[in-house]
Amino acid sequence: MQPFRFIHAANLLLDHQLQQIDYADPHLTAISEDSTLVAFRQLIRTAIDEQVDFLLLAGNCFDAADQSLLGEIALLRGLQELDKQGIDVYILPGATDPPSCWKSLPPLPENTTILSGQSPISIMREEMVIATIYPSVDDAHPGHGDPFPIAFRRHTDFFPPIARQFEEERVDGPTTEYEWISDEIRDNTGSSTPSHTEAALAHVRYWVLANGQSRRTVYADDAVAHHPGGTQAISPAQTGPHGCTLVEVDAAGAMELTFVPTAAVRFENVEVPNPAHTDHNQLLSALSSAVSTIHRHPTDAAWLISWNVRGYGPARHMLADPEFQTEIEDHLRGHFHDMDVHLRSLGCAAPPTASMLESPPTDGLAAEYWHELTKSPQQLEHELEAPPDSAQLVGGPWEDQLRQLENTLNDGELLDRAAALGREWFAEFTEESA
Amino acid sequence: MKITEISIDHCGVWRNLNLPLTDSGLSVFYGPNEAGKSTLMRFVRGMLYGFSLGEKTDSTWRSDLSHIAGAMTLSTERGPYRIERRFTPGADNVVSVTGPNGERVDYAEFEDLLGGVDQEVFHRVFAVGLHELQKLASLHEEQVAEKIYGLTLGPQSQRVLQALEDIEHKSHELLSADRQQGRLPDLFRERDRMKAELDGLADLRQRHQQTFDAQQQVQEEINDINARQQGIESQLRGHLYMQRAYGPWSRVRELEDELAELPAVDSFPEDGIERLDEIEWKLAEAAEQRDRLKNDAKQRLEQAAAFGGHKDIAKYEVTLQGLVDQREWIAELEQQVAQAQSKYDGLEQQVREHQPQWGEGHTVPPHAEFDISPNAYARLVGKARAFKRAVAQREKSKRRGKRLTQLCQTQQDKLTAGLSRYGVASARDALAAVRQRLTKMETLGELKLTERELHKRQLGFDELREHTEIRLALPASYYMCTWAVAACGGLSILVGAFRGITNQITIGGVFVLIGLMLVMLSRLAKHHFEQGVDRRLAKLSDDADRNLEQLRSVREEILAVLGDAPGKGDDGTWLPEADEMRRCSREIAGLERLAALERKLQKNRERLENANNTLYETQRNVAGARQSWQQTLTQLGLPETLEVADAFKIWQSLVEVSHLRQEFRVAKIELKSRRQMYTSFCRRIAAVGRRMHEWEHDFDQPLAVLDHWETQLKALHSGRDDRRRLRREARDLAREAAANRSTVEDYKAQRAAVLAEAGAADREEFELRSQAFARRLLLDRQLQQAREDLQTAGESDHELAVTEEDLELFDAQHNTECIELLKMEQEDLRNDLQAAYEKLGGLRRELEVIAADQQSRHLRREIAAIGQRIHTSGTEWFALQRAKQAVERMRHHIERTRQPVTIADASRYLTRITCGKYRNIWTPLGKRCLRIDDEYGHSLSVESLSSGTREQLFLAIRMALIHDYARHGVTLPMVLDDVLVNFDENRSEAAIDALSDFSRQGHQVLMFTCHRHLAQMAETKGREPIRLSSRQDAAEAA
Repeated sequence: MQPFRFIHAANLLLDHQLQQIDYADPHLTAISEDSTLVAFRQLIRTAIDEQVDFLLLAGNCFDAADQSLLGEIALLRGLQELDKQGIDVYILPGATDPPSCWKSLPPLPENTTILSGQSPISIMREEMVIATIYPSVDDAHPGHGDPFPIAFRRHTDFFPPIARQFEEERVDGPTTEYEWISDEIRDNTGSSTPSHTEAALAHVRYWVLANGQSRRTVYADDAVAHHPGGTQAISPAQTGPHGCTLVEVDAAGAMELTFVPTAAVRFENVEVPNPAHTDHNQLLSALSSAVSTIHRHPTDAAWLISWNVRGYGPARHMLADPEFQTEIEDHLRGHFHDMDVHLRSLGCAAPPTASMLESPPTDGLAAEYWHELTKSPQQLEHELEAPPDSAQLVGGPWEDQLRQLENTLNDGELLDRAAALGREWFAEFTEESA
Repeated sequence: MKITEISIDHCGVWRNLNLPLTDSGLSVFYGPNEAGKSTLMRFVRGMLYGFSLGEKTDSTWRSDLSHIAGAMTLSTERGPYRIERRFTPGADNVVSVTGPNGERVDYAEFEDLLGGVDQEVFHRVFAVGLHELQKLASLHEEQVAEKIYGLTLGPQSQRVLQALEDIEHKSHELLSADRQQGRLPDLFRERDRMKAELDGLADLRQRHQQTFDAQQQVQEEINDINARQQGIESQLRGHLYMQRAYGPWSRVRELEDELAELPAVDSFPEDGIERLDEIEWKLAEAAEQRDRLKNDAKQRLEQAAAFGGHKDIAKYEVTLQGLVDQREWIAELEQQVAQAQSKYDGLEQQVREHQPQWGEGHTVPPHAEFDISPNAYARLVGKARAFKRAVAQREKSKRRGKRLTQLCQTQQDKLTAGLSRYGVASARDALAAVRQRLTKMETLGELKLTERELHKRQLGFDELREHTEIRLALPASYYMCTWAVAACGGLSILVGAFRGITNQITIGGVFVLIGLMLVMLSRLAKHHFEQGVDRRLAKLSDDADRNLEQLRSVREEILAVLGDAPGKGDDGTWLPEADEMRRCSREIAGLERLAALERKLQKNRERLENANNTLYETQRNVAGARQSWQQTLTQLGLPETLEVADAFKIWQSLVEVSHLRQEFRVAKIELKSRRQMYTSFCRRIAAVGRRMHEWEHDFDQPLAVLDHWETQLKALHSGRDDRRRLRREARDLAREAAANRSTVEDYKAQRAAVLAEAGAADREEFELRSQAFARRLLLDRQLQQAREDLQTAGESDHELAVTEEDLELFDAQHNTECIELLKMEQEDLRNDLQAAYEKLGGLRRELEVIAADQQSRHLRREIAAIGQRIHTSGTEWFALQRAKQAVERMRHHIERTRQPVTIADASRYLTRITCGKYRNIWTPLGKRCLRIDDEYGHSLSVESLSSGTREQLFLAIRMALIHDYARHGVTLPMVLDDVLVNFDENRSEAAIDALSDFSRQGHQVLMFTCHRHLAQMAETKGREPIRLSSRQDAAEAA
């Protein structure tokens, strides 16, 4: 087969606004507002510089709810630029940009194909088919001799049954990877024989994992399943570098996946030790040490860092103080002044509940409050004299919004905030008592 | 402080009473009604705080307050004090306090002994009657309430309360209790407003799209105008050229025509006419010889002409040769036609074989042409998708309706089961009925309480009347004694008379007189008191009658309230109100759950109705989509009953047939073209044949005709060789004639030279040319000028290809009109172009402006920021709710386990007095109300307790308060006026035990009672009651 290369990207979300950005900071606002567009331009430049054969955009190029004109214009210009360079673009509509939205766009350049049909699409180079895209996995019946079949699968549908043969995950850089395990082990683990459809799908060489958020790669004998993550992180939950993937296929059909960073704004979640006793200076030193472990990519223009503190100790208390954030930022900027990256502290990250329970207070009302706060529903059910549940959402004109809001909230974050309130009310008492 | 002695000079019924009190703590005063117990209690109260005639003073005490004087001796830590008071209405208390040293001390020093407890507190806590005891409100004096409700809370409770207040305050700031105000609703509103604004900006996208489309359209218009402009310019250039060139060209043509008409006279010799005459004479002689030789040659030539072959063949030799030369090609063409024919036949067969087999419902025959264009396909796909989508939505609505029907059915079953349990039709109505019943029970409870009080009062009246009547009769022993005294006196007189002892007679007389006097006095007193008793009995009867009337009316009210007997038990007896109220409460709880279920059912029914409406809507959509789909099928010539999959299968077959038909058409065209070529060639041969008048050939077989013509041509070529020979001979004769006519030729040459010199052929012409020579010279000059003009006109447009025909057809007027028209059109196009460019510029600027519009981004940024704030506020609110639950549980725990000392003490006393039935008293933090936990842990309000238990509770609280005062150094005696009358026997005994133990802790308790059993009970407990005699006794004693 002919060697070829393409770029696989997803979740462009053009002109989508980043979440939890301090818009009072003009520098950060300037960086973050255009970050998705900048990432897209970087993607286009990479495609041209690498002289790829085609570009594969697997879902969520924009958010239709944004109704962003800038995003549309940027998209069209990018596609036109690729059209001039003779690079084909294949776009899979996603959850935020369903096929109906693409129909309402101005006419796309001739190099652009929206993958919304059923029939496979052959990708040609010099009148030779180099790859075949099967937009519908139900109709994907690639033969053994088909040149490089590419198929799509929902991220959540991939495991199992198709990838039941993969072993534990392995973290490697920005990619979460899996390794193929041997046939012997697979035979032992597989409970049923693959169906005819699965056998047909076994010829697929490249699985495009759709509808996911994070970057991940799964390797098989001669196949790869991959989700490149977004080109730009949108919320603090999407930590780490973001970009696209350059896929190079050699004449023997072997694939090599290379991460290409594109994101200008990077969210990071840094683990911070939480000893029983610490002061501001010690904490600042610990923070700068933790930040120094982050590897900077050339596209990084801003780092928005959340601090992951385990337990109930003083570091959490200090990091929860909004005024301390400025001190942290000044310290970090002074410490990393040569890095040419805009640093902002987002405060404590919403911790997992388990980590909150590690070091509870032991004395006084604070301990009593903590005990009541962390009671499980089962414990509460067994309490005969417990007062009635006061958090009622029933009624009122905003019931639906409140319920939606409740669904978005993190249990650890609520516990953290409730614990902070408890510190405010009861911590001094403990000290006074002591 | 303890009272050790009470001395009353004058107070109400009491005169000169001196009551020394033992130091045992609990002193029980027993006396019948109106014995002066309440007066005594008020005396004690007045001695400590002074007597006054206030508005609240009851009428009995008011009458007792007419004159009061007395003293009280107190034992304190500082030593004994004695206080004496005198009170006359309208004058101040006259107080005298004697200190431990027997000296008078300041009243302030005495007040200091009271420990700051004012008269009001003493009245509510320390010295209470049944009336004060029964009322909770009497404890709500600030100082007392502070101790009971623990408003001075401990630091932990304060923290918890502050935390709850903080939660309430912060929660309210974020979201009010009615869920309509606060930061979160404000943010929700703001976000909705922003989203609405953002939706409003959808017009911007549409405008951009429209502007972009308009820009494309204008660009196309410009291109079109430019193309048209170029065309018009080209036309105009042509017309202008024609206009410019036509004048010179017509002049040239006219001159050329005239020149053409003129003999060609380039030059003309001088003296030409004379020279010509001489030469012509010499020529005539030489010409005769030449003519003879020429005739010979002519004869040879005529002979040669006889060998010319077929005339028509020779005439069309070249054409025929050309046709014969194409013989190979026509043979090949014939084969190609045959091949095309076979291909055509084969494809025709395939088309016939692949003709789709129609079933029923096809309106268009299968051989007809179908519209299988991409547009038709897109229309078919679009309609199919719409149809499928509508069907899917209908199925979804059906499922939802089914689910809701099941849910409604389940809830209806639950509701029916629940309602049948209560035997009602509607939970809401039943709830109202039960609530009404509960209200009735409460009213009934109050009425029963009143009824009990009235009944007790009635009993009191009866008892009083009985006592009063009893007192009217003196005991028989009294009369026996008096008569015995008189008899003894008589006996003594007799003995003295018998013995003669005068003294004894005197003493006997005295005794007789005393006995008689006593009898008389008793008779007089009886008579006197009988009158008073009769009045009192009449008054008592009146009061008793009034009381009885009230009692009757209350009982009637009770019966009226009971009315439909909701509180009757199975055995016909009235159930206790508390039980009935508890039953009502349970029923209310159950019915409230049913009412909630009923509301849910109603809501689900509404949802079901909506779902049914939606289903109806989706069914209509399906019908619409199906109709649209069928219309599309009909438009495409397909049966309207086709399913989507079948339609696409048929479509696929139609596409294949269409491709075959296309190939068939191509083959047909190719066959036709070959045939046309072949036929054309045949026609050409036939035409040539017809021109040659060879009608005998079959021109449909061109190869045979060509073979024939080839033969003919070969014959023609052989005859042509003979002719060449004769011609050679003729040329020889002609050469001789030429040799013989040299002279002729010379003369001719000379003449010709002359003529040639003049450019004429003959003499006449020579003469004419002579005339024309001059004219030609003139015309040549004019022609040259005209050509120069024409060349000049054509130099500006080299690329123009103007033919003579154009110039010949040139119409100057029409051309001028065309030029004017084209110029006008050009002007119009220029204007249009200008307008289009202006419009394009405007559209580009508008596009740039729209693209640069940051409002959408600004709004989204604002929405994101608001979303962030909502997230923060929401986190805060939900965290506050979670914290509130935790703090509420803490509060709950504290309320039950960390009550103020007073309440804790009261709990202990209550447990003891109620024999363990009620175990815990607590107050909700920060609230002025009491809750009591019974032995089962149920928490009850004060109002729900029976009156007896309520009095026990208040007694316990007062004991705890007094204990708390003592803890703070204030020890004042506790005075209880018949407070145990509503206690049952067990609890009365328990209360006396508790009071006894209470007194052992250092508290002095003075308990007044009119009930003998209480006095006896105290006596059995080792507390000898102090019996107060009745007023009659007192009066008699007096």
